[in-house]
Amino acid sequence: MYEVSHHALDDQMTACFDRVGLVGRELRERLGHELKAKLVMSGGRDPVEVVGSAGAGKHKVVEAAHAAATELLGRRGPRVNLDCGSLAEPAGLEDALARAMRDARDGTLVLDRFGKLGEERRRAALSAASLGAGPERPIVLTIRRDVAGDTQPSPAQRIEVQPLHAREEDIWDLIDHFFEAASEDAGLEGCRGFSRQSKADIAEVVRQTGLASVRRLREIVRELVFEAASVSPAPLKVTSELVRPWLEQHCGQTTGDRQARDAALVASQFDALAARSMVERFSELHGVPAELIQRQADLVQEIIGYIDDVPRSYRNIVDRAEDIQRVGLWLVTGAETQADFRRFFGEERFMRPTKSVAWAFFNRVFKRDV
Amino acid sequence: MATASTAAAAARPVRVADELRWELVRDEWELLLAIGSGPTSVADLCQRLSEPTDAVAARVRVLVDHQLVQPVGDGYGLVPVFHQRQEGMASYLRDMVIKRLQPAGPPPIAGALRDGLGGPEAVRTLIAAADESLFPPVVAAASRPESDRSERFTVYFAVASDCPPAGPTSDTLQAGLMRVLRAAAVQRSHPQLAPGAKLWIAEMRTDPEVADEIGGLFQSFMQAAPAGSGAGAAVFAILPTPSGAAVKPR
Repeated sequence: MYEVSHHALDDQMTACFDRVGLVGRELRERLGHELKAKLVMSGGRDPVEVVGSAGAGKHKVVEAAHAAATELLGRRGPRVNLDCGSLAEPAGLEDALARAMRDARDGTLVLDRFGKLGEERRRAALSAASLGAGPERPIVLTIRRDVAGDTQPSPAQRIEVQPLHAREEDIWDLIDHFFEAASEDAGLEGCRGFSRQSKADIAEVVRQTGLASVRRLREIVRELVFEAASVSPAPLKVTSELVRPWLEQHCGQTTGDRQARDAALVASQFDALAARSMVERFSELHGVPAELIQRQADLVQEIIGYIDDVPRSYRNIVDRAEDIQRVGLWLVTGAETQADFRRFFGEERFMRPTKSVAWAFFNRVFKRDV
Repeated sequence: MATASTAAAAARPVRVADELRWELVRDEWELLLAIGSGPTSVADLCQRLSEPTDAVAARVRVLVDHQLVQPVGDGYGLVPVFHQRQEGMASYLRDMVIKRLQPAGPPPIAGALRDGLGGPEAVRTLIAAADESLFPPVVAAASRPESDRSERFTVYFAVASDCPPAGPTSDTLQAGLMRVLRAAAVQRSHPQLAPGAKLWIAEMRTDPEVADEIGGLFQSFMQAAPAGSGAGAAVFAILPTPSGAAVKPR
């Protein structure tokens, strides 16, 4: 049953990504999992925070999320953007938010530049946006550039958009994508695109300069395509013979940089494959999909990131992770009382936790020191 | 590094280092494998690839223009050459190894792993011996005419003078393959360390018994390799190329 429903979801998600023009297989794969887990499975009830550096593609992710809400959750309303960076007064925020909520009825409300509000106002905005039910309440997405200064855990689910330089395969896909558009503008006919070597060279510049912006990559590709268009006859492929001198001149790339990058990538690819094998082994061993195991690992990683009140020792990490798992189970049961919680597991006594176990569980979930 | 083709090559093929031709080899891999040693007509190619005549004929013309394919009898055949890699090691391995050698994939039909093959000097000697006495008969065997029973196989052969040892429990062949491939690839991507390593990955379309014979050639070579003290290691494996896992040109 899992296979069928998830495959159908995957297909619909892929169609959404295609429709909004989301390019990059790493981003698409990761975002597919994230949107399923954080938006679709919860029916869009919880706000989702899209975080990433400038130009990494946060707005594209938001577009994809809105498309997924329309396609998979049957939302029919529009996507409404509220630029929080331009709201100076607290009162202004309340009014603007109320107006935007109405406009975004049965659709998606995007709170752009959400980080500009400051922690208090962000929490107030999220709790105001969480009022109402059904179509009255739009799906709420926030866009933020930086979460480093946060002192409180966010009440929103978070989707982190990796910077471009950390997404090797996406760089290649984007180069191909931008080539298509630029070659048409440059009248470069008969050219099939960049060679593998030249794509690797451009990717090296992206990594070396810590380039996070997809827009800047588009500019680089465009300039190289126009350079290639000036060659007669037009090359069958844009090779490193043309690309390397340009990168050396404009980006300071050296042969040493290229070699070092290649060697580092070789090792990391094998290591990633070994890590993936481990995920697949656990998946088989525990009878759950590999993506679930990976999500769990990501979750534990995230939980560790939030431990700053006690040392990150084995005991503290395990305790915190278990507490969060208990909270998750409590939420899954939808219980409001301990009795509800016990009943969730069935009518038979042997199916339920004992009262003392349920009591201990309750204390851990609600952090009652008894 | 070189990739073997199905070209009929009795003599040792020459080496070619040309980025554009390399790109065509990688982009048109399926078409080149379908052409094989030939003679293969455009009509046969259209049937094998399920593609229209005009498109296939145009692609073959480009391959002829770039000396990758030549007219043979009533059709076409591959030009027998070794193409030296003209792209980063990382992207090449991503397509040829990382995307193909998945943990849940089929087991090798033949393979062997040897550790303790001595230091850099001993490994360089071993590599020279492979170039001299192993690859020519392998290429000759792989170049025999195909039949209806032919299948696609990928051969992985790696030697590294500085290979980390196996973990506390001895390697499975698959784990050993990854370990030596990784070591050889890392060494090959450092110009100063490259002479102490070899990485040879070839895809071929042959009858299963030919693949078995090629496995025997590698097996004998590996068994005969002298032991020595040092971190030298070698591995080979022949795997059926997973259907649908053909490397999509990019």
